[in-house]
Amino acid sequence: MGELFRRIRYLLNRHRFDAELENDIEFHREMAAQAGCNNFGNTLRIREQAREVWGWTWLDRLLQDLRFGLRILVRSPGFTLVAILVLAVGIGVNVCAFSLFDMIALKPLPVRDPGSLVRLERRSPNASTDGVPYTSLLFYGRNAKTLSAAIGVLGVPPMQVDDDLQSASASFVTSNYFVELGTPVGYGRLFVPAQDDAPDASPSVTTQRSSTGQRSCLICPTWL
Amino acid sequence: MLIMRVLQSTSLHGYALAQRIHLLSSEVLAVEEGLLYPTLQKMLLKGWVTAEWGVSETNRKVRFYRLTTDGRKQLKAELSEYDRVTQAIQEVLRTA
Repeated sequence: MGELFRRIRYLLNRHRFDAELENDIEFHREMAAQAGCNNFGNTLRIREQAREVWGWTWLDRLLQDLRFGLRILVRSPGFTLVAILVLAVGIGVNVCAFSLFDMIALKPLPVRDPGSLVRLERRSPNASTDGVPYTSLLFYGRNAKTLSAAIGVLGVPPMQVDDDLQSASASFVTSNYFVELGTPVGYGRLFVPAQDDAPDASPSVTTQRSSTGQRSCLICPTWL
Repeated sequence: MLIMRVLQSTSLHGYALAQRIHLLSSEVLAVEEGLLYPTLQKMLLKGWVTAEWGVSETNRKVRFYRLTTDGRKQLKAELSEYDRVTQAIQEVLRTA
């Protein structure tokens, strides 16, 4: 551990350490010359060997190679430009495609707990339908033990709202729609079972505008 | 190992270290500079010696190397290892 710290300290104070070593070797050289033996050997080689001990030569070589590569690229700008463009287009296309896919397919439903939603379906040997009679729906909501609540949605033909160019899609929903799903909404108040299920309650509507600008209305009618 | 043993008694700069080893071994051993300084760097890396600035006999600023506690432990280990190996060699030479 201490060794790692020392290595990092060396990396940060490279110049100082190298200068100190150079000073030591110079001094040694002077003293040796005074004493008469002049076969000191290659100073630069010794400093290089000493530097290798600290284990950062791979970094030096990497930086050297990068600088060399950069010089080569700068020398042929046409090639560099084309290469960059090709890479940019390739990466850009991939990013776009994936974010589109992500938006459409991978995003979960904007409700509180999408994993717990189930759609009821009725099947016979020859056919299936996800239409359920209203009375059955009420029965399931009240008596089913595995379902926390039953929400009903009935699509109806689109209608003109205000002066919109596009007609708004509309559905009838049960009053517990928002409470159970936890969906956020635009104008209007949210449906509240206690209020909207009362026998004298008037029908209420909530509207929502999607990201494409189309309005959709959810209507809580007075049920029979 | 020899470097550490010499540094055990006193702190020295590089040249004095090489000289001392040369003298103590009756001029049989000579530590080349190409070996001395990389070895000193390795010992600095491992934390067995530290280097402090001082003034030499010729009034020049130079670094003095000193053995640390870790260095002393390492020296002891290496000396005992050396003794073990030498003994083993002696045994073989004597009895073979």
